[in-house]
Amino acid sequence: MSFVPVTGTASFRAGQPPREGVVEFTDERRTVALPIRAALPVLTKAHSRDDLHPSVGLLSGAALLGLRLVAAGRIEPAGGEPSWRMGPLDADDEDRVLRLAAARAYDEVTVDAAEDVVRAMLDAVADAMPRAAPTTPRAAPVARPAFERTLRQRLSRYTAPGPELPQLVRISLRVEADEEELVAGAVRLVLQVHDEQNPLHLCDAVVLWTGTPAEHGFGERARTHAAIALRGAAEAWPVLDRLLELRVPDEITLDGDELESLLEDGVAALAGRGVDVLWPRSLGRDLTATTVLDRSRPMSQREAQLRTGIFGEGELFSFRWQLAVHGDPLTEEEMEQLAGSAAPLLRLRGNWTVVDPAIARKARKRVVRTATASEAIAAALTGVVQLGTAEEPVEEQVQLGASLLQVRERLLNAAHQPPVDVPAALQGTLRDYQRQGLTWLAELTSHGLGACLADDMGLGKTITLIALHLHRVEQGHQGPVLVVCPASLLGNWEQELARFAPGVDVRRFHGGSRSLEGLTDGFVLTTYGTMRVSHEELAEVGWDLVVADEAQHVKNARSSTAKALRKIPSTVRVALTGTPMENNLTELWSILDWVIPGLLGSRQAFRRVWASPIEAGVHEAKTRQFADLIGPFLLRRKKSDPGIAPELPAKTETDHPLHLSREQVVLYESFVRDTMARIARAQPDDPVTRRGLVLALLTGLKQICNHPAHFLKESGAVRLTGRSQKLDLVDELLGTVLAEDGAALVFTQYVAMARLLEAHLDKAGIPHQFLHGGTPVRDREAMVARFQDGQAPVFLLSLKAGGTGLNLTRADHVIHFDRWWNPAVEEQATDRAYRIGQTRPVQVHRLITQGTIEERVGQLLERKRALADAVLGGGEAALTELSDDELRDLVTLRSPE
Amino acid sequence: MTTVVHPRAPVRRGAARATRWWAKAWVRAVEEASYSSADLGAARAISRSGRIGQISVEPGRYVAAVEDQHGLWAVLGTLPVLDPRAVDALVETVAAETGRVAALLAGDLPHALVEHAEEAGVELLPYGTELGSTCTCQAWADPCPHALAVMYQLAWLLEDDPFVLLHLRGLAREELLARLHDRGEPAAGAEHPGDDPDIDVAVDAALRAAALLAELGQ
Repeated sequence: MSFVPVTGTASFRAGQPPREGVVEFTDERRTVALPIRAALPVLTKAHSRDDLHPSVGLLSGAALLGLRLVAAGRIEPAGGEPSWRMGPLDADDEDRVLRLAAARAYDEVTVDAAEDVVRAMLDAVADAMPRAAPTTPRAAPVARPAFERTLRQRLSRYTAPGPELPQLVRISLRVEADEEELVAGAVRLVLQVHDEQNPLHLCDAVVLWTGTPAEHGFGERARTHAAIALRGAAEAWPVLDRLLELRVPDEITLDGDELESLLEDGVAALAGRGVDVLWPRSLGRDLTATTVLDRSRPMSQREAQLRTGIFGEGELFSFRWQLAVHGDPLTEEEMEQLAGSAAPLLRLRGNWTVVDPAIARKARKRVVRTATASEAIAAALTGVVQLGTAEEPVEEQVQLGASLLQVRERLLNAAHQPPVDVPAALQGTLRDYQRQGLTWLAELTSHGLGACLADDMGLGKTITLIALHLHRVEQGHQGPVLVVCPASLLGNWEQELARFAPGVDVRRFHGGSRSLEGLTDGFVLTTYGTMRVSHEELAEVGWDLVVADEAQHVKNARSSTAKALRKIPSTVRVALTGTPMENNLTELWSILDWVIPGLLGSRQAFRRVWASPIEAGVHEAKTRQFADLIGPFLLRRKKSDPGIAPELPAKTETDHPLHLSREQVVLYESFVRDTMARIARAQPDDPVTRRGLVLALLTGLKQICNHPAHFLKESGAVRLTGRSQKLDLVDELLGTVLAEDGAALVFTQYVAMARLLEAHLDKAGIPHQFLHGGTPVRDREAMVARFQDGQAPVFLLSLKAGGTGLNLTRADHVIHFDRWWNPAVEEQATDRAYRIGQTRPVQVHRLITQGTIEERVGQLLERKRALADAVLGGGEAALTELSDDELRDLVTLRSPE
Repeated sequence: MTTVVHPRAPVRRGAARATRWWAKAWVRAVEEASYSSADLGAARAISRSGRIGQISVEPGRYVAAVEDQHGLWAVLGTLPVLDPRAVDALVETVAAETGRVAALLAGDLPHALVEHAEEAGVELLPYGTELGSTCTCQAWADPCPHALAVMYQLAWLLEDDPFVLLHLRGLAREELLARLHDRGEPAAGAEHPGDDPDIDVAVDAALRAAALLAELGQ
């Protein structure tokens, strides 16, 4: 712009209208006159130069001030010829004018004159900047304020951008309905828009579409984002397409079908897209459904009186739906009304309620399904029921109908009933806890339910069961009792039955000549093996009771033995076992499923519902529920229980009567025959030979009674099981002892037998030790220590090796494998365990083979006290003085009666 | 004037047919525009070969480079732009239903939208005769195979994004969205209809003054 001189004077000539004002720049060389529009750029740029002429400076300052005022929107239309002028200045602007004039006044131009120049320039700039003249002349000052205000408002949008308005939005749907709409079964859905960041900032969509940002507070793109969100929601629930078709998506009306669709799957689908559906408070939504378990057909009074058991033939229970509003159950009529209503809106107890189609379906089909008695018991005890299919199991809480509550009460209190009277036919006294057990068994069995008695060994399960049978006979039940037990315990049962219930018929169903001919009542004893083979024959009898003794023998439900046992029907089933099975749920299932079929469900269902969650240890509640479920049917007492221990004597002696196996019988009889023949042939004048032969006979027979392998001097890898009941019984006893975490001493006279036992225990993997005469003293102490520590719970001892100084008080069982003629020696051996320091009751087991020399010598000793003393003094040598006949009498094998 | 450059399309195996209905309509127009089916075959082969470069799209025209065994050629295609009144009508059509802009943004051109626009006098989809082209190759007829090939690729672009079609017709995406937004705003100062022109003039003057001052660094 060097063309226009700014170093010389410049003057301003105002024009009419002001935009035709002219500025004249002069210096020595030239004069340039520019109209105000063209002069503005020059003046404004010149402002920053140093060498301005003061007049130029004045004009330039005025020009800039004018621009600022125009930019602030201070111009207004002027009257007369259409032109613009500077609007009224406020105090600040006046001040600026005066200060500018004062600052730029120079030489001959006074402040007043400068002020005039400034004001004229302002008007000129005000008129020069707009591209057009105002259209209407402003008549009066009345219109001016409106103009100013509007102008300011418009400008504010540009000059003061407000805070960032939110653009990203979510949508939600609000349900509205007034009374008429509800009666017609329709509601409205109103679309709402809210800020994604600030959920409290929301407005109806209609406001967003038709209102100003000041009204809805959202940014420019909010509408588009809302439209996109709405399209996504319509994909989830297509009824919303109707909203998409509107110009302004404010609301749509839903009829009954559409409302049902919304309730059924719309709400969930929309929730999946992040669109909530909001319901008004006036529309209730609190309808719930629970399952109730009750009899299918209510019993009449008379029927209730006739019932003896809880469950009669073909008793049916069913699960029904019970609906409740706000937790308050609906009456039958209300549920009928619900079932019959077509629309999902219903007036219930004075309030409009929204009915979920799922609940409406439940109202229409009240019965979920029927249930068997066992399922009913299971549900009554645990409070939950498994519904749904195998693929999609659903567990529901269940409420109990009145009759089932009764059943539950009785089951839970079975153990706490007043004790029943001890049956008169019982030849013996029951201890308190045994009477309690009898009461419990009697209560359960009287309802037609089974039971599992799992007391520790030695607490008298056998006598309790005998008492139960006698009690049931007193109550009028008829039919025989089947007892299935291991072969080695048959003799025990016979002995106890003979002792406690001598009037009862006892039949042994075992061996080749077994038969059930003429069976009416009484006890039938059989073994697991025989039962497995002859279960069909056994199944034909109408048993009153079936008892599985040592029920752990059927802990594997897949074994043929277990399957056979299940095929034998009876009114009541009782399982007896001494080994706790709580650690292995599958074994527990096997036994309880036989005792009460169906209580725990099928094996797979049991695994899925109970075993897996409990073993995983995730759900505490499950473990408790399971305990509730099996609790009424399982009674277990331990020797150490506070009510029990004081009643047990410190020492219990049990004789276990056993029989010889076929192999043993053959060996026994042939050996007797041979040796008696040789004795007969011995010369009467050769007492030494005869003595030797007799001793050899006695020893050999004892060995045969122990185990054929002992007698035959077998060693190495021989089969030991199944050839001697003594060994089998020792297995049973040790099994129980170890399961109870106890310890046992096994005494035998013969080192060879002990070696066989060692080999047997090795194969069974049971830790054991053997102490005999040849064991060094040093080792003895170590062995005793190990036993007392619990590291080797089975201690084999040679009877002679005892000696004093052995403290074996950890043992709670003593097993005498073979008999020593001298009872005192036996006592001494026993006492090693039963001593001061022994805190537990000790059980002494004597294994006696029936009909053999073991039994006979004992009887002989009792009859002939003199001989006893001699034997006491001299050992068995005294027996050699018996005559041949007496000897024969002693050794001949008698068959058991 | 907004220009959008679409990147080079890679080699396509198999027939690359248009599936969406508007892309098919475009392809029909392309086939109408051509003189010989041999040209069309050659064009399809070129379009799948990956030898067409980036396509620059502007309202009313598009430009691309095509390479074949004889050399590198430049294709310029044209089609008529909608006049401002028609653009207004088109914006109005999109605004008529809330779902339409959402559909467009989701890559779908609703049939109803195009029909409604036609009723308002706006032909969105071109006829074959409206597709003009020139190419630097010395072909006898326009459109030559190169141009046709570019048109085929445009069909794929349209299919993926219907906004390309609107852009070619003179309504870019941002402009459409801005105008949709402005539609619902009640005009400020509507209570004084007579003042409108003056206010506008004054606003314009104020803004220019502010701009000048900003330039001067004040």
